[in-house]
Amino acid sequence: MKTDKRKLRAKDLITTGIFTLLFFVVVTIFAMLFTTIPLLMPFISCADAIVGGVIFLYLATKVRKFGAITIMSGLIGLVMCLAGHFWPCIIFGTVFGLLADFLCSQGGYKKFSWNTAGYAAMILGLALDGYSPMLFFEDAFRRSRLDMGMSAEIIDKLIAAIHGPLIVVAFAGAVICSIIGALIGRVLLKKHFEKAGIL
Amino acid sequence: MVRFDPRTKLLVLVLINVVIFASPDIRTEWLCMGMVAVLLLVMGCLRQLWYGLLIYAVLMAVFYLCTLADNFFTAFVSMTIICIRKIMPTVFFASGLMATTKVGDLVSAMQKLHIPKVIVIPFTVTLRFFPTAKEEFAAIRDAARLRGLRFSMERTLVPMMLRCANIAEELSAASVTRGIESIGKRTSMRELKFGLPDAVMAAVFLALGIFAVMGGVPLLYG
Repeated sequence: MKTDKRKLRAKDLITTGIFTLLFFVVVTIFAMLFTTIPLLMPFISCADAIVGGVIFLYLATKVRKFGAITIMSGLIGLVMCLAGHFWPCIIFGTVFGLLADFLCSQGGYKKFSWNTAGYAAMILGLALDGYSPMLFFEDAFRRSRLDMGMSAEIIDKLIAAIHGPLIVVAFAGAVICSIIGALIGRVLLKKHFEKAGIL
Repeated sequence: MVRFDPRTKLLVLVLINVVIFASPDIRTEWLCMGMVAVLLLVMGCLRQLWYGLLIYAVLMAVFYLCTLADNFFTAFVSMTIICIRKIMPTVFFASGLMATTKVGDLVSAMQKLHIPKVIVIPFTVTLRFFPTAKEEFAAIRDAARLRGLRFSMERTLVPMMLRCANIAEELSAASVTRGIESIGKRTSMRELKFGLPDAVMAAVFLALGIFAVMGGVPLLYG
């Protein structure tokens, strides 16, 4: 019954829940900081990526079963949605979470290269949460930001920029930053966690 | 003090979000805040009530101060305030929700809704862990101060993660001991039943939701 080693046990689910919360706190802090400077908004995911690398790598290597990453990504999307973000973020979170989980599983959740690829996938999902309102739901986005008090010119500039080359830069930046974040994560994990015997 | 079924509270949480998302102007948001305040009063969460109202009042005060001057700094501050203001009703209600709902009740409620365990457990843990995480962070900050260490990402994040890893182990052990892994139907000491208060609360907030979507306060007063 419980000999199926690939099934997610309660311990794995609890670990996932706790570290998902940590990641979510990181995301929220940067989101609140960067939203005040409109120009920085596309780069929220980049900041998330750098700091969150440790958390993601830890979860992947600790649980090592299919589903943990999916749950993490999906839960973040769900909580973001409940807190007032655009509802597609649940869909993006789950879909990109599945992709990230799949990528990580290719390396047995231990190989750094595959884990980084998975991390990049999840970060891209988060980035998409931020950009999709501007890309696909222009009017609603315009209205909500006007309501928030952003001046019309800044909104137009943002939307124009997103439709142009800026979005490629932002996505490329997200991928690069996720690699940086993963590298930082690996260094931190080796330096502290292996010594403590947790990993 | 009235007790509500956790499922009703979850429904109201979603409805509050809908209201805030759809609200066309600030007066509808005030209406929502007011109703949540009354709800918290009815549920008996006086401490959360005063805290929330105080914070909201301060927010409004600072906001109006900012509209008096018109420079870069005030724009900066007012935008931050607007972000916070938008999530205030949800957070306000969530604080009341977490104060009145026992973790076990919440899990039972979600199981009755047939949500799979794979979602229920991480979600419940995430919610319940939030206050604990705040305490841990405060402890880490104090410990660092005690040693005269300056703030750094690494020095905050790594201890947090180590503490979380520990807590995860302990929490898992406690939960497994309480039978979280058993396949059978979950029994609980308290029966979760829908009652009149639940129906009233659900109806009121449903009405508020429809009202907000249809146009909110401007519909009545322009």
